[in-house]
Amino acid sequence: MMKTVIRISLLLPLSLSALAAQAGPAETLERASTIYEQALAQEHGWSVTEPLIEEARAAMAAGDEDRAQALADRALLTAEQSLKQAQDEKDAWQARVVGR
Amino acid sequence: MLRTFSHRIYPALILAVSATAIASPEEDRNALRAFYEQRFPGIELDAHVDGAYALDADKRDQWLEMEDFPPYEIAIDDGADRYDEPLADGSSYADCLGNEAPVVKQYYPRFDPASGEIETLEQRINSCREAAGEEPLDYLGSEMSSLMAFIAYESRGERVAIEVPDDPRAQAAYEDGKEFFYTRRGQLNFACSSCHVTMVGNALRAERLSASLGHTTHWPVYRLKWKEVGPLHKRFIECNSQVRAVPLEAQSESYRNLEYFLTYMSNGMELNGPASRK
Repeated sequence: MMKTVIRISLLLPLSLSALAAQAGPAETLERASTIYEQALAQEHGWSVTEPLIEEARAAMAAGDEDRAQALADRALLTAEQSLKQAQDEKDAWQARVVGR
Repeated sequence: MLRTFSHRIYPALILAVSATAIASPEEDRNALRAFYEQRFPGIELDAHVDGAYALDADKRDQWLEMEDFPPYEIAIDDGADRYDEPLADGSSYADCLGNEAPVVKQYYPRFDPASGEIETLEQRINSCREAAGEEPLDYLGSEMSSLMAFIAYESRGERVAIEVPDDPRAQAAYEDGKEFFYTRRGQLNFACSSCHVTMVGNALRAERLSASLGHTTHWPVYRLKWKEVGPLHKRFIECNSQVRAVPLEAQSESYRNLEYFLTYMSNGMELNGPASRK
């Protein structure tokens, strides 16, 4: 049961990415920002995410929809990966302790 | 019968686990020392207070030449002047820092039972200032770094003497610092331990990766790339930024806990700050 829950939760970000790919840049950006905030709250934010979000917003403001979408997709991907890192590292760090 | 047994065995197990946790910092320290001893058989453990310069003879020669005219000297002099200046209410840092002041660096960071958190020397300095009616100093500013340079200089030769008291909050802070040290962060997916344990001694571009023993003994540091004396937490910020992680605030709880863990690992080693680094 637990394994199933874990598998589903691991697949969830990927499915959300797929959904985001069908959404417009505004929706993708909103999702990226939310996930980025969650990673930040766990002290796992990546410094590349916020500049991508800002660049995507600028592209949207300039009316360049394609560029905005491409940047928003990259922002979402880095945000998802940073949150996944936070989740994975909750236990993974222990295997690295010297003398363990 | 079974119920009675479990009632007896569970508290015993909890006690056993607690006892392990209490012994854990010293076990961690001994394991890390053994690791570096095996990794660098020709190098005395105490030599690691010089960081990468303990591992690379050429770089050490260049560094020793730089130390002939130490670039942090101005900060020490400035810090001495500031240390002697009376605070707003007429008291002094010496009054606030205790009988051994200014030779106190060996006791910090320390667990503060009142707050239940780790208190760094920088925080203690600001507590002294605020109690005397002064504004706190910027943790990354030159005034704080000068004061710290003076105290570090006066504390040279003392041996690190950090305690993790028998208080679950202190042990939690220590464990949190340990977790931070071994946790991968940033887009490059690096932990502190990636460089300073796994790849220690190897070259990262032109830099030799230093051991974690002695990592906290020589701060504050004049770094050539900074062109000024700066604190350990500025280095934490830099390290996190280099692996493309969003860095934390200087003196944030996680950085203080990391400093607590790292300093405990250097227990018994000689203080040699301030220092210069590339």
